[in-house]
Parts: sequence; structure tokens; C-alpha cells
Amino acid sequence: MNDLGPEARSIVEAARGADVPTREDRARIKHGVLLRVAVLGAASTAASGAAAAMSVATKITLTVLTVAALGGGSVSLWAWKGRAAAPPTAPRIHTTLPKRAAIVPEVPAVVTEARATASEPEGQPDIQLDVRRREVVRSVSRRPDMNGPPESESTKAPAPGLDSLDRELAVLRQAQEDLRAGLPAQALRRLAEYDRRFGKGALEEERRAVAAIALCQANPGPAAQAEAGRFLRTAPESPLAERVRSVCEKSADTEK
Amino acid sequence: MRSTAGNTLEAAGLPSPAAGSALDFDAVYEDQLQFVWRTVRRMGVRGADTDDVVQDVFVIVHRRLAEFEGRAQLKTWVFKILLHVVKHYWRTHQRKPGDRAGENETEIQSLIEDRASGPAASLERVEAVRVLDRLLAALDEDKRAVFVLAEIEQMTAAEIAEIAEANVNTVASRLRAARQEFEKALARFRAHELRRQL
Repeated sequence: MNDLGPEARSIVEAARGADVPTREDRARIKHGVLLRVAVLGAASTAASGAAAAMSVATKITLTVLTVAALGGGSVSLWAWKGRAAAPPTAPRIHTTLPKRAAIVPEVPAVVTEARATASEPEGQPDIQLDVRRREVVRSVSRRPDMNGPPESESTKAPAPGLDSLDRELAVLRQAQEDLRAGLPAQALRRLAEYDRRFGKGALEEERRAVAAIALCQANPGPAAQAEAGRFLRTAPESPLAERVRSVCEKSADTEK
Repeated sequence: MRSTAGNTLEAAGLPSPAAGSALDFDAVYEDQLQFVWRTVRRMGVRGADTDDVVQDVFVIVHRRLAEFEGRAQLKTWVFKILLHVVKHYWRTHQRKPGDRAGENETEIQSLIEDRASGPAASLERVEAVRVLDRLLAALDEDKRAVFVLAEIEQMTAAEIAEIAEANVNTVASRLRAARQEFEKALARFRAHELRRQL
């Protein structure tokens, strides 16, 4: 084979070691991989036998990320493809990864934008997982193909499986895109259609929050305020509560 | 700098599945990330998309790790996955590597900003990456893949043939053509630089 000339060779050799991932790159990308595996395919991966190959640290991380992805859904819905460093006010998810590893790769744009305009105090509020969500996570982790034989006890209400979570996540992402595109009415139609067809799901709270935001954007007024108030009363601890409050207060001011 | 020796299961300190223990994803990730990262970037994936594409590769690696039989080198197996993902990226972005010349400035600016403080990022090296990417953009996808594997990753023709699922003669022919095109692109680049300075 003809070889490269000296100048071409020197370019190739100089470039070879120049572009290496940093420690932050390594941690951020791994976080994204594990999050996607946790949400989209932990069970099937385990079934294929790969779970046996995971280190204990990876298993723990996967479990925590699953909790984060399901329990802290509002944070993680848009975080699957984590790449950006967390903004200063980003909610924090506890994981076993290093702090500088962009643990929360990408906060939903609506939340970030709202916080940027709401001039709220600096800080990183922790996300408190509610009991219902923990049930969902436990039910996923108890899948027989993941952790041995099924347990005889059953939870009071069957928790949604990964398929329904995928479906909900997809709807929420689409609604989020509608909001970004300035189409709140379309977001509302989408969410209403989902409710009509599938009813409540594991991410019901997030859907209600997005619906309240969409309503406030689409038709600011008493009805929207009432909907936002209902959400804030029933889910005051939601990480999206501040976002709902911010958007709906702003829309109320505009209305005046 | 031969790197393949470090990627056999034994050299990587990874247990062979045949010996009864499966590969550890963490170890595979640590061992292969640099190669995957670098190759993804050299294959014309935009800087902003690097994370996504690298993640795609490792999600598949994670899912299929149990299927890895240890017959091929780990790096070869990972690269097959990488090539599949990158080709999908090219298709979905409806652009070929040769269409990307105009994006290089942004890419390199990002490289400078991201890594200027890194130990390996001397200005000369950053400049070399800038020129390299620009020259690689002149190659079609098959030639680019062969060139990257042979010249940057220093794989043998036999290894590349296995990855590209082509015979060794085809690989040799592609590499010869790729080198020629690379040299031509370099000559054009130098002529262009000269004209700018006049």
C-alpha cells in the first residue's frame, strides 16, 4: 500500500492524541448510557444475561438512575441524552457518580427557562420521591427476569410497565415540544387524548403539570388559574410546582 | 502506537466468557471510550452530536455484551457497532462526511474551548485536528472509515476487513485510494492557505 507523505503523516500523528475525552466527558456519557439502559431496557438487558456482567457499582447506579428516571421523571424525561452541564439551579438527583459529572445532564427547557426568569434564589432543591413512584420503581426492579422469581405479594394497584412509561414519556416529550413551539393548545389536545385513551399513569403528576402550564399559556384566565391552583394544592412538592407557579402567575399578570 | 494488543480480552484484564464469567460493562466502557469517542469525531459526527452517538454505541454494547463471544478482539466488535451507528447517523442526518467541510470551524472552536486546558491540547495538536477533519471530509464514508482505522487507530488490513466485512484486497484498495485522496485534499488545502496569505 502506498504510504502517506511526511506532511500528511505528521498531521495524522499530531492529531492522534489531541482529542481525548475528559473525566467529565467520561462520567457524563456513562451517566447517559446507564440512564437510557435503565429506563428503556434494564429488564430486557438483564434477561439477556448482561446484568450478571455488571459490576455491583453499575447495578447500584442503574437502580438509582431508574429511581431518578421514574421518580424524578420531570427532571429526567428530557435527560436521556445528557450532555450539558447542569445549570446552577438544576434540581439534583443523588447518584453514585462524581459531583462534577453533570449528574443532571439536561433539565427540561421549560423548567430552566422559567427559573431563569423567575429570579428565584440560587440552590439545588433535592427531588423528593413520593411513595407512589417508589412503588413503580420497586415493581420494575422486581420483574422476575431481573431479580429472580416473582414475589408472591402483589401491590394494591398494578404499577405501569416500561411500555406504558415509554408511552407516557413520548407524550410528555411531544407536549414539551409543542410548548416550545408556542403551540399550547396542541399540547393540551395531546394530553387530553392520552388521558382519554390510557387514563392515569406513573407520570400523571408530570402530565398534570404540563397541562396546567399549557392551559396558562393557551388561555390565561380564571380557568387556567384554577387548574394551576389544583395542581399546586395536590402536588406542592413537585419539582414542576415552581414552573407551574411561575408561568401561571405571569399569565395572570398579563391578563390584568 | 499499536493499540489493538491492549484490547484483547486478556490484555485488557477482562475475563473470557468461555472461562465462565461475563464481561464487565464498566471495564469495557473504560477500555473503549477513548477509541469510540475519537473515532466518532473523526467519522464526521458533529461535535454537538458526539455525546448522543457515543451513547448510542455504548447502549448497544451494554445490551449485547453477553453475546460477545471473545473470538474477535473487543475493539473490533465495538467498532462494528460504532460503524453501524455512525452510518445510521449519516443516513438520518442526510449528509455524508464529504458535506461537512463547512462545519469544521465550529467543531474546532468547540474543541479549542473544551480542551484548551487539557494536557494533550497544544495549539499544534488542535490545529492538526482541525486540518485532519477538513481533509477527512473529502473522503466518502467507506474510504473515511478505512483511513481512520488504518492511520489513526493503526489497525491492520485484516482487522479492518473483519470490521468492514470486506476482503483484505478490497480494504487495501480502499486505503490506497483514501490515502491518495487525502494527499490531494492536503495539497488543495495548502494551496488555499497560500492564496489566503497572498
